[in-house]
Amino acid sequence: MTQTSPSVLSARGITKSFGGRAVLRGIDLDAQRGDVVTILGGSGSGKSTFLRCLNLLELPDAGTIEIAGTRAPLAHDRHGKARIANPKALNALRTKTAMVFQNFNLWSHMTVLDNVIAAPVHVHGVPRAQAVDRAHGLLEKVGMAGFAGHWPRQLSGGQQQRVAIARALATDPDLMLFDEPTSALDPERVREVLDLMRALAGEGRTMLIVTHEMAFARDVSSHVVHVRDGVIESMGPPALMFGPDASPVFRAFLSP
Amino acid sequence: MIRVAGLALLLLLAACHPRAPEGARELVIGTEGLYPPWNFTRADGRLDGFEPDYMRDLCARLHRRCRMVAMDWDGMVGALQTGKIDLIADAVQITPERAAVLWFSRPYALTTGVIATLRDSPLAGLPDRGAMMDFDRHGPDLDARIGRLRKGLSGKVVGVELSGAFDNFLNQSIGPHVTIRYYRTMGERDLDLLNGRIDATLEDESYIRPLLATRDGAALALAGPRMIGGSMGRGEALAFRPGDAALHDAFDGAIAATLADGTVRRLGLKWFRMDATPPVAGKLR
Amino acid sequence: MDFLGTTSLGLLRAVPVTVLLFLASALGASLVAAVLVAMQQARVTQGLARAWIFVFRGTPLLLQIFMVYYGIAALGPIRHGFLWPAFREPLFCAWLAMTCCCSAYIAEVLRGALGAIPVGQIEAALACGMGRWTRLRLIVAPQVLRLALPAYGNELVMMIKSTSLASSITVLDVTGVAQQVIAHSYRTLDVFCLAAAVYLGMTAALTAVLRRIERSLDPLGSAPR
Repeated sequence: MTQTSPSVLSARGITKSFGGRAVLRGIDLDAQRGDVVTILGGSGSGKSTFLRCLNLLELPDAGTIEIAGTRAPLAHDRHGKARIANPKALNALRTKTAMVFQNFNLWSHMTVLDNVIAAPVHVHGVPRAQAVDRAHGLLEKVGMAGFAGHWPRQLSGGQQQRVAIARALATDPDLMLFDEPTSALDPERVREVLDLMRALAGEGRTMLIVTHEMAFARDVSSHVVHVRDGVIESMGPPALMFGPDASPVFRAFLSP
Repeated sequence: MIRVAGLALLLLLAACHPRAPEGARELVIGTEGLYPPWNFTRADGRLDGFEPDYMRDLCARLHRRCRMVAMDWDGMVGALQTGKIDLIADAVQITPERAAVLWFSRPYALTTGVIATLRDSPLAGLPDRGAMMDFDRHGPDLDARIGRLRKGLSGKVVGVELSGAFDNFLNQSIGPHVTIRYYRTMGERDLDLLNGRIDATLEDESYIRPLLATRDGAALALAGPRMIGGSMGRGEALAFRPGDAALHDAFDGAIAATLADGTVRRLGLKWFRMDATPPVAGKLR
Repeated sequence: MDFLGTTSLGLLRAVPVTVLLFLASALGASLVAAVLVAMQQARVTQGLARAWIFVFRGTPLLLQIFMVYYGIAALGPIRHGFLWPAFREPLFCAWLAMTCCCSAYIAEVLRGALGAIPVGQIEAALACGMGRWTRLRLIVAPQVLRLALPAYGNELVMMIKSTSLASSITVLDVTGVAQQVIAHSYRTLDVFCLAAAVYLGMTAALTAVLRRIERSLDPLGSAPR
């Protein structure tokens, strides 16, 4: 986290509970432009929930979020329940981010091309022809050049996820959120997605990745964050986190 | 429902008396039960009216056990043809069209067709008020009256009972000049006449006269000529399955007796407030 | 043969009435259904939408037709009001009753489809910052259409057949004409068979159109996941 890079993410004191069970118990996290932050943790540790709080797919109970200079419009009603203060500002925040889901979530009624151009055309107001041009470039980049006219369910999981990444790139987001992007893939398909993410990291994309791929975290991240029981148990550069001075708890997590 | 129940009862009776002589078998008489004062259904489900009264009289004269069942006119001829009922007593007008598929007794009543409208309708002033149009007596006089009627009704909406004798007359003689609405029951047609959906109805006098005497019917008035003959028929008669000569002839004889001894006249005055006895001459088939 | 020919011709001449009633009711019912589904999304209007569906789905269409035709006509304000020219017409009354009744069924079909949209499809739209209307137009509506189409098509086929009830209030549709022919000819079976054939023809045409739409919406011939 070099001090000269501008801040892309600043999350402070994020808490969230579901039906009285505290899932996040106060998480602070920052990311600068070009950071690749992997978030590791056991299942139920709250790592995915934290990621989904950042673009407000989940409403955090408390805390502040600022992404690329835009503050999340969080407010609380008189019972202390969190709510969205301003839907317009919410969408403005979300347009700064893009999310890649575990289950791809490509829109099944749209072709590959339409999936990629939907947000640029209908959210950002990019002229269609320009969006299509760019989409073809992105599809080539993710290795899906010949598939523009295909329907999502004609594709394998790995192919769908690569299209989903192209869709995420289409709006040139300040922050990319990856929610276990390889967990739903067949083992032989994991690699093609990880290679693509590795390439994006090399281009200086700011990425927040929830994953179970330890080798990827070690080799590609600029920072590794270990979440446990809704708090950050330890964090640091991979050299530290995967080295002999790592926290014993994280070491135990790595080799149970 | 009633029809099904009637059929079930019939089957049951047949099963109980496999060798019952023909003369002892109960006769099933079809009627609509929705055509007051000819036949109608009381609140308790009992059939009443001119025809229930009259059929009781006829059956007594013939020493036959009879039972009247109510059913839609739609299915009545079919029920007769398939033997579910033995005869129809439903103010059936003798028309040439029907005579092709039914055997008619001699008429036991003769009533005319009349036009009814709302009292304040422009149709209330139709010409030839009360004059008799006999469609079996062709001539310039009749043609002129048809012409005036056509002109008077032109552009109006006239409601008639579906398959009633007046339906044919309207179609054939007034047809394209009026809009005809067909109703399955009199009650529905009367409602639409009273609320103004239709401008007039063509209906039997025996039905309209008692209606005019009711509270709702007071808003109605007769208009234009009275009609008889032609497709409107020459009186009401019982209908039998073609070929059922024994039953037909037996009832014919009984009807003749009731015409002669004043029974029909008495019942007509009771139910129609008029004597509907047909002239002695007419015996069709 | 001559009788059957004339009768067929008469029945076919009544097809436009049946088709008009069907198309107008299908359009009206679908629009009202969309409004009902929208109303169910907001707490204030939810009760009203539910009551509407409860009433119109829970009572026979024939009864509703009679209520509109004879019941409403008996109300003074309607009979002497500016709406009377509409309520005077049996075809309008049949249309109104069918629109109300079928909207309740279609609303339930749409609501089911709305609930069946995979959550992930919506989240993907939310995550890229789509506003409510863009989401509705681009994601929700096409998905609802796709998911609802089989059941919606069923409703439409039922509606074609339900139009025959209009004959009970003097509309001369295919059934009305059939009853008229029977009343004069006493040939129940052959006339009803001809009428049935006419309805079969109409439902077959509708089914073909629906299948075409289904295929164009879903070129691979399988439901969305």
